[in-house]
Amino acid sequence: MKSALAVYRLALVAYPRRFRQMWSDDMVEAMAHRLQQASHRRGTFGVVASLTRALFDTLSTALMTRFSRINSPRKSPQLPRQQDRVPMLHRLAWNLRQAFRSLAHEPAVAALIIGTLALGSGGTIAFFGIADAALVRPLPYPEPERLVTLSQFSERFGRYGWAAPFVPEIREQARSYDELVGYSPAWTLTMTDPGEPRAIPAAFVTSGLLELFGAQLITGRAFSSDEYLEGGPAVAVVSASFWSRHFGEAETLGGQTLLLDGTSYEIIGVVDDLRMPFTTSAVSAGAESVGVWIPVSQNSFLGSRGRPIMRVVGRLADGVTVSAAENELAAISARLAEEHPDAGLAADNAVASLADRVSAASLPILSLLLGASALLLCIACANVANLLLARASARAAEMSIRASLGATRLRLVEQLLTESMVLAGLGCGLGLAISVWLLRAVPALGFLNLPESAVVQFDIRVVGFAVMLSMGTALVFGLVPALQLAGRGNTIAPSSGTRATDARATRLRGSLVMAEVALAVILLVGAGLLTRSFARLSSVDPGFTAADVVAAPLTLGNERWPTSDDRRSFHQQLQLNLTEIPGIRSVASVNRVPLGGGNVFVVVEFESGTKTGDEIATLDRRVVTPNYFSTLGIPIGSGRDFDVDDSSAAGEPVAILNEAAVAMLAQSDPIGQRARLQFNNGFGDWMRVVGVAGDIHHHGLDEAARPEIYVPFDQSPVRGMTILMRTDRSPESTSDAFKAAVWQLDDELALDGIAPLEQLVHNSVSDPRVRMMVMQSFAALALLLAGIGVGGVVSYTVARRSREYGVRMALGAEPSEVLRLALRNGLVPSAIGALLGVGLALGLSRWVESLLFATSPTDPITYVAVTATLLGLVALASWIPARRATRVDPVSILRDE
Amino acid sequence: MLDVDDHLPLTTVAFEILLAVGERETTGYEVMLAIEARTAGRLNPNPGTLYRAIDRLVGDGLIEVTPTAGGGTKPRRRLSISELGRAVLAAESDRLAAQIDAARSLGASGSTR
Repeated sequence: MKSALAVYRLALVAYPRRFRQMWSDDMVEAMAHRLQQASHRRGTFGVVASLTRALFDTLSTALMTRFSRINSPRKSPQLPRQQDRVPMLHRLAWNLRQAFRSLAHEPAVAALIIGTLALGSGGTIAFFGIADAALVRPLPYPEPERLVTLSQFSERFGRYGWAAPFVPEIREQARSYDELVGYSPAWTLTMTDPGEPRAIPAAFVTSGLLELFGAQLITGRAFSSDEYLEGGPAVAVVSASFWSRHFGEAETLGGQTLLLDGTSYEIIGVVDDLRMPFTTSAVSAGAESVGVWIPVSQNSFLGSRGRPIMRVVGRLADGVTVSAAENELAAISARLAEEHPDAGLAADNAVASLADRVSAASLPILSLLLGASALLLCIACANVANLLLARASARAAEMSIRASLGATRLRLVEQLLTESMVLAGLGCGLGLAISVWLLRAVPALGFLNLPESAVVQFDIRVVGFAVMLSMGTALVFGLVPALQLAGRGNTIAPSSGTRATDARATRLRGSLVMAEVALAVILLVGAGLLTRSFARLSSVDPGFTAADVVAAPLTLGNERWPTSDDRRSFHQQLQLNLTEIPGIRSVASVNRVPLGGGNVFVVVEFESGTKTGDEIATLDRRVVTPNYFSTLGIPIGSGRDFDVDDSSAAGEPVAILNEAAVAMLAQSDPIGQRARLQFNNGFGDWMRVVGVAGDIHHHGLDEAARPEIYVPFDQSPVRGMTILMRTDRSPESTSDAFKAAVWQLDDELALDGIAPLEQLVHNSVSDPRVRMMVMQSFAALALLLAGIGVGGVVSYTVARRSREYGVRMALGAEPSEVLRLALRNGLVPSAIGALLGVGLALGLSRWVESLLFATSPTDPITYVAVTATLLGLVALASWIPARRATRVDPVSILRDE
Repeated sequence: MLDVDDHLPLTTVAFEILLAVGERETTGYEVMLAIEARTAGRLNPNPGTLYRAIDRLVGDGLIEVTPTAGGGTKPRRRLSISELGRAVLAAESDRLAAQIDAARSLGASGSTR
């Protein structure tokens, strides 16, 4: 009760200051008395009801007190007879007051309506805010409409970028751009100074990038042109939040350095946080944004013309169209391909608006969610319209009296619409509060594929949308009942409704039920399809056994482990140390862990050729240690596994292919055939294929296995490997033992991201899982609202027609007959609505097609199951009130007649 | 100052407040209790409605306020009826009585059912 009183005291702020100073203490005392009485009589419910009434009363009288000071100092507000001369403001105030009063009469109905609208509008407002940030708003860079991306395109890899050395060459030859830059954003470097070793995200960039994206220098300077040259000084620019995280409040640069992957970079400048235009994946959602920028010349990996992984962004020159730029790029690319035949430049190129490309990843899911929440809001509106229609019948007498006292039809509609506006305003206001929470919580879930550059926040645009939405919903759900009510105003007697208008209202309510059920079917079908798709997805066999395996990525630093031999000996020693730990049954390593989100591909030449007639094909390259296949339970179909003797020093180099790779080859038996990899400086040594491994889903459970070539670690001792341990111990104790074993060998290694392999499998389907769950919640709410709506209609008709039922039973009708009659009002429109909904859902289903896995958007089982569920629920919701029809006592009904 | 007739008709709540205040000097809280008791709970205005009506009656000069008085932990404003208030109350009572007489003479009184 104390809190109820506190809420009331807070609401008193609505009054003018003079009024508050004069009366607020007395009013609180009076309210305390009120609440005590209410609590005494009806407990907590009484307190809530009493408080609700008092709050409505407070709002309406506060409005009147404020407005009456402007308009009329004396007369109490009455419906002015000559309405046209009444000042607008006064009329509004009068209407508002009436609205609050009439709502206060029925706090339960008002609360139901407001709650329904809040549920419906909260999601719509939140997803509008997210879609606005991700899809509508201009990118947060200077002249965003002129920014374009340049990419290459091939059948095999889809769309991809350019190798770094090409970027300055394209810029030099092209006339279409004011500026052209390249960047490689997704690097994770190990920082060993300052602080503990840890992984940080960094981007390698060409000259002009910071300027193109409008990064504001806070202190220091941007890169100079010689810092972009090969062999230039190791320098870095960092973001303000990175600076404050690692260097605290220090305001001057003072030659601070970062030790990244063993290289010391001098920090030459600090810029305002810059959000790069690329999409974060689900795995990295919630991770740090890129906070370190380094000239691309510092990264020798990117220096190769065979690594087309730089994203290229240009600012179009004045008057240049996208298609003109694309034609020019085609010409330049053809020239470059002639000059560098080994670089494997694609024949197809594309120039596209950066904004479109950035939003493309989140477009399907955001449209789905925005559409779903809008549908839910429509269902909520239909429900509210139904409730208002029911109320309208009860208020027919009031309207008749008003009309006979001289109120015009317009006047009545105006007043009823004001009531709807107040309801919508309160409902959407509450929805806005829900959306504040959703706007924070939903993007953090990461399943929306939001671009880094999208800043989702609660701002004036969101509030503006909420206001418009509340006006719109008020019209949608308020107009029909208002016209209905006002229309009968002049024609009927105050005491009762006529059968004609009743029939019309019943028909109207039937159509609303129909609409509601149809919309609910659409949502249910969407949720059903995603659920089935997810079930299929999670039952996919990944091709390896993830249970009891712990994955631990580590990257050996340049300084401590400079040569291949160093790295070989590190891994040999680590392998020995780990196998000695009790409980660890088997240890192996791989350069890219399955479903871990990384990939390395390579051009391979097969001596005996491929099916296409070419000798060359592109395969995913995996570097593994001998026990890899047995540790992960990947079957070796024919030939043999690697063994410890398969090193570059001893004998012929070897390789293993997966089944998908074998399927590409001209000859069906690959064992004994030779293949070699293409490197920057030409082809490597021939390798003998010694085995065929089973296919695994490396890129995702929903992606078919790609051709892979496995080579032994001893042949290519790369820096970054993930250690896989099959263990009987818990993941935590394995992780601890692993760290101890690693730090024995090198105490400067960053050991982040140690996780059970099952976790990676689980994470790899987290997007579809969350999508499914969100759609399921929408569908559940839709079911609930549809149930309430249909049940309400039946309950209302039963109440209105109890006299008829009584007469029928008196004349000998069976209770089952009467029950059927009562049920008909809910079931007939529901069944028609369900059919309509199935039709609409079929029409709309292609919208979800891109989000489905191995499930047809017209999957008949889903449609049938969904319709059956909905109709079952609707039947139940109708049956409960319909039973009352059979309990009508004919005698008492006839006596009343 | 406005004429007595300019204040007519009174709202039901205003009429009840003047009745309560006319009896004796009192507080707003006591007015609420008095209305509740007199109408046996049939009229039970929310604090907002009640105090807005009191505020208007004060503004129109029908009620006078004595800033602080009485014991308790908090000072309460005491309300008393003004000369004008008494006149308006009487005029409104006459007006209502005339209406009721008219209704009775047409047989529309509640007691005939």
